[in-house]
Order: sequence, then C-alpha cells, then structure tokens
Amino acid sequence: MEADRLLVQAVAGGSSDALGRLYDRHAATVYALARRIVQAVEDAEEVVQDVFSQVWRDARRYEQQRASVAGWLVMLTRARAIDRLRSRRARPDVGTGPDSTMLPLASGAPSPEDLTLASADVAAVRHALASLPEPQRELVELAYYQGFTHTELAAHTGTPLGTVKTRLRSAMAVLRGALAP
Amino acid sequence: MTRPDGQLTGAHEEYAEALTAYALGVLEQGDEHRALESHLETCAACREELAALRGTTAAIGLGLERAPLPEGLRERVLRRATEQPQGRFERPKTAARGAGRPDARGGSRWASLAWLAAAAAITVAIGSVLYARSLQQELDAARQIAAQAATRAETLRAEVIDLRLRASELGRVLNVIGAPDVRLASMTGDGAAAGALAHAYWSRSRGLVFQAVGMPRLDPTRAYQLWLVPSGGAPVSVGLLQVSADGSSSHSTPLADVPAATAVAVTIEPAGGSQTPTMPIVMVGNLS
Repeated sequence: MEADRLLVQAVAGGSSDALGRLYDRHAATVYALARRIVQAVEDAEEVVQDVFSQVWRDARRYEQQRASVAGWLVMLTRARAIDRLRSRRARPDVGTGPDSTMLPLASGAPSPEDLTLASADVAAVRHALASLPEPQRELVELAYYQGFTHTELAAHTGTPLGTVKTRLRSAMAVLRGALAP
Repeated sequence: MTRPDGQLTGAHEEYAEALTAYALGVLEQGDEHRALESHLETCAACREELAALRGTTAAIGLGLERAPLPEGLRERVLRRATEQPQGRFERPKTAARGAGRPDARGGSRWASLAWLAAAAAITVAIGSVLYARSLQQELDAARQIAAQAATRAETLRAEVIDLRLRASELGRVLNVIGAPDVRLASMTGDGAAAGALAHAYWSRSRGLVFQAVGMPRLDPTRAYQLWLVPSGGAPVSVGLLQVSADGSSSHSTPLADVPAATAVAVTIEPAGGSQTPTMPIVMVGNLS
C-alpha cells in the first residue's frame, strides 16, 4: 500500500514507468470492475484507458491524500464506466439519465478511502453483500453497477421510493458494518 | 459509527438516506443534494460516515473476481495517458493540515484521523466547486440585471428626451401665452375642416402657439398649413401642421420679425406646403 502511494508520487513527478507499475498492480481490478459495469470488452478497455489517463493527469492532486490508491482507482473506474452507461442510455431516451456531474467521484475529487481497506475488509464486504436479502442486494448492485439514482431504482424495481431509500441505506449500513472497526 | 443494526450513531439520521446515495455517487442533483453538501461542510460526524461509506463502496469494487487483461492494453493505456499534460494544481493546504501522520501506535485512531482529513479534503473540494458555481450564477444574474438595466436606461433616456421636448414646448407655450403683447385668435373649421376648433396665441416678440382639436385627417398628398396674416402684404407661412391620430394638432414657433399681424389662417396645401396660400382656407380668425 505504501508502494502504491510512492508510485502515485512518482507519477505526479512525470514517471511513465511508475504509471506502468501502477497498471501492473491494479489494472486487473480496474478492468474487472469496468467489465462488470459496461460489459463490452471494447468499452471496458476504453474505461481502463480513461482511468489511467486521469491518474496521470491528477496524480499531483492525489499525492497528499492519506487514502488508498486502490479505492481511488475504484472510484475513478465507476465514474468513467457509469458515464459511458449513462450516455449510452441517454442516446435512445434523451433526458432520462442524470448528467455525469452527479457523480461526485467523476470530478476527480480526492478519494477518502483509507489504507485500512485490507484484503480482510474486502472479503468481509463481499461476504456481507452476498448475504444480503435479495431485494437489498439488487438495489446495491443496481446503484453500484448501473449508477441508478433513488428514483431510477424505484422505477426499475417497481418499489415505492421511500422503501428504496430505506432499503439501500440499511443495506449499505450492513456492508459498512462488515468493515473492521 | 454504525451499530450492527445499521443505525447511525454519530451521524445525522435525517441525512442517512441521502448520504448513502451520495457515497455511491448516485444522489440526484437538487434540493436534497444541496442540503446534504451544505450539511457536510459543518458536520464532522456525517463526513466521517461518508468516508466510511466510501470505503465500503471501494471494498465492493475490490472484491470482484479479476479478469485476464486484453493483449496490448498496457501499451495503449500508457501511451495515451502519458501523451497528455499533467495537472499542476495543488490540493488546498487547509485540508492537508491535520491529515493523520503515520502513527507508531497505528490502528484505528490514525485511520479515523485519516478519514476525517480525507473527508475534509473532499468537503473543501466540493466547497470550491460550489463556490465557483455560485460565483458563476451570481455573474450570470448580474449580467442579466445589467442587460435589463441597460434596456431600462435606454427607455428612460427616451422618456427624458420626450419630456424635455414637451417641457421645452410647454415652456414656449407658457412664454408666449404670458407675453405682455399676446393676442388670441379663436377659430372654427369650415369646409374640409368642419368640426375643428382652434386657438392661436401670438406675441410679436415671443412667437406663436397654435392648438386645435377635431381636425379631419387629410389625404397623404395634402397638408394643413398655418399662416399669419399681416395688416398689409402677403400672409407669412408659420409651418405645416402635424395632426395626431386623435385629430389634435399643436404647433409652436419662436417666430420673429413678422410685421404686425391681424389674423391667423389655416389652408389645405399640397403635402410639401406652399409659398403663398392657395385655396381652400379652412380656418381663419382675427387676433384680438
């Protein structure tokens, strides 16, 4: 993890070699998440390119953060991939998708994820997600992988808006509770 | 923090649903979004909760099965990324201060400080964006007000010019009517101008004022012309009369150097006026 931060510092200093090493460490994660969101291989490759391009541009802004590089990359990946989904959705049905500025992570704002995201945490969250009741798990996954808002979740699942909000919130609270204190 | 039943303890209950969506990056723009962001600026407990939820969000993505990477992607990614210029911006200093230093005791205290610092950085970043946005809105509003003011000023300018003209005309009228040598002619229309009523005030020293109502509109090729008729010699043209849509007409002129006049007359002439009056005379009145 310390290595990640050093690499980002080096990227901020203009080292393309450091960017290559960050790629080697994290590209598989970024690519897997991008595939999960945009599905098509070509689109996922584009997302990976977008993410590492943004890392190159914004490394300096990131470098003083005490936050996990992996978490930052996840944020960037979701933002770029969901942007693609939304623009794809917006094309046949103009105006229904919220604009991409809605994702605060899309702005390249520094991520608050901390280094405590140990592999144990990741495993615990994965386990907790799998153990959620189906309606809650579905909401989390639609929000996470489709970028659906409360309103879109309600429309997509045919569930009242208030119920959607409550369920999503309590589902995320369970997942959050799975993290080590 | 969060109890196992999912209830927030330190953060604010009323923001919990919005905060969850916000952490997932799916909170719709609008009142709720704005309210949450302004609350986050002042509430450390909710910032901490946001940081924790974002950590959870990151953990979900990191928990996916990894997929084998496509051939040649590494080269394409690195080439494209390093072709672009790097940002030179610095993170706001205030947020950096207090960021958790690596602490020999390690563990959750350091983690908690780091969460707070990172969340504060986010808040500062959000604050900057919001501030920039609000400046832009203020600028747009100011531009709109300026445009409206310019239009209004133009209207007012026109009104002032109009009022000045009227005031100067009124001044001239009062000047003539108040002259010691003023004389009045009252007239009624005949022939083509039947039904018209008019007054003319004439002061040899100050000029002539003519006012009429009920003047019939003329064919565009014709015009009413006003004359002063001296006791001896040819009538002197005062000018052509403009008739308003309501049939009223007023005319004033600082006419000077007219021989002593005994009467005022109105004739109908060709549109451009005549040197000497032709027929018909539609109004005539003696000055007394």
